[in-house]
This record gives sequence, C-alpha cells and structure tokens, in this order.
Amino acid sequence: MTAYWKFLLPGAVSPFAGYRWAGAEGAWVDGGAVTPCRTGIHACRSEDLAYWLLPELWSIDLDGVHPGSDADHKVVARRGRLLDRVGAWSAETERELAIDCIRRTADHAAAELRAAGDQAGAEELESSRDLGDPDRRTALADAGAAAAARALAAGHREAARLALYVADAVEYLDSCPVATIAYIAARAAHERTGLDPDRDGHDAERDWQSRWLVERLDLAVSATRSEDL
Amino acid sequence: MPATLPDCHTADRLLGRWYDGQIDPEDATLYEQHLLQCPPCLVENQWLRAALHALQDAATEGASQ
Amino acid sequence: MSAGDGSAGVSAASLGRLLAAVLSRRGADGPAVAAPDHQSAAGTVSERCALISAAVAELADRGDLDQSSADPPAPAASYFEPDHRWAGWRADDPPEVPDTASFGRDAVVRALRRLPPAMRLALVAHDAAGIPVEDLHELLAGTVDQQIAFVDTARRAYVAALAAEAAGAS
Repeated sequence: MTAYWKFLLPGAVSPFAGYRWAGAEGAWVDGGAVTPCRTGIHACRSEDLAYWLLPELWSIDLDGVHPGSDADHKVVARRGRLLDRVGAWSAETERELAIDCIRRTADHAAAELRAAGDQAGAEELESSRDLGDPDRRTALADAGAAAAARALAAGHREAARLALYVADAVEYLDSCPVATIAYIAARAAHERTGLDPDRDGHDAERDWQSRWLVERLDLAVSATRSEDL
Repeated sequence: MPATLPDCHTADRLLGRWYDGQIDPEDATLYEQHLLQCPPCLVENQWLRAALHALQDAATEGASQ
Repeated sequence: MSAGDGSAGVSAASLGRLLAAVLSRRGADGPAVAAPDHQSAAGTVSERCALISAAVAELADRGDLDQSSADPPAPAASYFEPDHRWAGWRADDPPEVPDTASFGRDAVVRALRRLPPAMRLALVAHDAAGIPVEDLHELLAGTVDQQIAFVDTARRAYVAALAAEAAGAS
C-alpha cells in the first residue's frame, strides 16, 4: 500500500477548509464532505512533505487518486481516511528541523560570501553549529548582518541578501512556524549563484527537507508516481 | 518572481479566486503553500472564510425566520 | 422598518426579508454555485438578480436603504518596498486569528451596514445569494474583471468591518 501523508492544524483540522477530522479517524471521508468546491481529499507523498509542514502529521489511506493530480507536490483523491498520527512529529522535532534549516541557510549564505571574497565571513557563518543556544543564534544573526553590510558595501548584492536571510531565519524562529524557516532556506538555496542552471536550488532544498523528515520520523517512503496508476 | 516562490502580493490577488474555486490547480497549490509559510496571509484566509461563512449563516437564518 | 435604535439604514429585519426573499428562490444546500447554464432549482440567475433589484428598490423607496457609509473601505495591506529583500511580502504584523463566536447575525448585519451601498449589494448578491461574478453586471455596472475586483474590495471591507464589530463586542 502506498504511504500517503497529511499535515493538519492542531485538533486534526484541515488548514484550508477548516474540516475537523477529529473523531473521524479510520472512517472514509468523501472529498465532497470536506469542501464541495474543491476537488477531493488532499495529501502528499513522502518526497513532498516539506511543502506542507503543519503541527500534526498523519498517515492517510486514499481511494480513487485522481490521475495527474500529483503534479503540484500533492495528491488528490476521491476519498480518504486518517490512519495514525505520527507521534514523533512534535513541537520538539519541529524545532529541530527549523534549526537545521537555519544552518542550511547559513551554509548557503557562506558559500555566496566565499564566492564574493569574504572568506572570514563565510567561516564565521559555517562555524555556528550549536544553535540550540539562544546566544549562539543571536551571534549568528549578528554575523549575518555584519557580513551583509560588508557585501553590500563591496557591491555583492546576492551575497548580502543571503547573509540577511540568516538573520531573518533566526529572528523568525520563535514567532513563525517551521514552514517559514524551511521556506527561507529553500529561498536561499534558490538564489545561490554560480550553480548548475539546470538544477533548481529551491526543489533540491525541499528534497533535503523531505528526506530529513522521512529519516528523523522513520516514515515509510511513498511509492513512485507510476506505481499509483 | 519565479513560479516556485509566491509572495504575499500574489497571494492577496489569489485569495478571492481561490475561495471561489476559480483558479488553476497549480496556482491553488502555490497559494496554499504560501499560506503555510506566511502567518499573516494564513490569518487573512481564515478571516475571509469565517466572515463569509457568517454571512451565509446569517442569510440562511434570515430565510428561516 | 429602521433599526430599533432609530438610525437610518438597512435594519436586521429588512435585510432578513431581502435575503429570505432571495433564498426562497434558491436551493437549500448552502452557498450556491451556479450550474454551467446558470439554471438552478431556485430559478435562473436573471430571475434572482431581478428579485434582488426589486427588493433593493423597495427598501430604497421606504427610505430603509442607507445611502451613506459609516466607515470607508479597509485599506490595502502594506508590503515591503520594491528594493527590499522581501519585496512583495507583507510588512504588517499578522492580524488576530478570528474568534468566530462573536460572528453572530447581528454582528454581520452591523458590519454590512458599514459598507457603501454598492459594496453591500455586491456582497449580498455574490456571497449570500450565490450569484456568479460574471452575472453581477445585471445588478452593477462594469466589466466582469471590474466586478471581480469590486467583489474582492467589498469582501475586504466587510472583513474589516466584521473585525471591528467583533473587537467592539469583546
């Protein structure tokens, strides 16, 4: 059976329809019962987990997957039933992912600073690994801002922007959901210069985030798209 | 702006059409992903849905009186 | 027909009768989305538009249709400057999550009364009576694109008005 996953708001609530799945675990829910104007039950494969981050993660069984619905990092099915909540996905593991995404953002910024000639600035960002400590995070944000100022003064706008993303990611860690931090990392990856133009940095970063989730939460990997047909 | 990175201005333009089910599936996905990344836009979406549901409930209640 | 507080405008009872008259001519399955041929069990879109127009005209004749607005429409969101690294993203703090418990019928009616008449009509016609945007030209002037933009503006103004009502009630 193909493994599908569904992120929900606390209380097993759909984020875009407000449908309350609580109490319906194990029962088939028709897509029309959730939101009549939408096309069915939405879920995702393990490779697309990073696109749909929310506080609750559930495994879900789907029936009648719409062919071709998986073009946009999700699958749509005629009906679905929630199976089990992934207990390993908690506020703590959300925090772990967010902090790792800050590190990734710092690494992307460091690479860009190095390419712009700021070796010291790059090393300072790369050396900040213990980000569980608030003081270390503040120091990282300050280092990013300082590197951005130097890069801007030298005319390296791309490097400056990525360095400021590091400061942004640290600033938003406590006030925004993990999806925000993951997005900043994906955006930083997308805006790297000097990489293979045929390689989408944003998608590659999302792939990394999804693999992080699969490994950290010990999730079953979804079948490839062709196996659904 | 690349299609993979929608911003709030884009999301604002899509909100009404998304609610009405009048946008392409790809745009709907991008809009929904943006909501998860952007708390202010998610709350705007929640406000619109709640406010229009209240209007529809008020209309139904009026019809039953 | 005015509200018990003596203020001019569409009273709750008048709005209720208007909506009831429209809804008695539409299906009972929640917000209606017109069938492709704009025909429903409750009559054609044109019939529903004509009914709304007649009801609005009656309210106007009775002096119950408030021709002024108490508050202007809600301002648009502010965004970061074009040269900012987050250009196109909101520069506002997120609003409060809606407390739907305060969205009773009276609050909805008071919020609608804050809107300019044309916005009020567009909102009731589209979102309460389910008239598609492309058919709003039977009630309001303008192209389809203008109607879409106008409904968007009306919705934002209504949300802001309802938020103000909810805040006042808390």
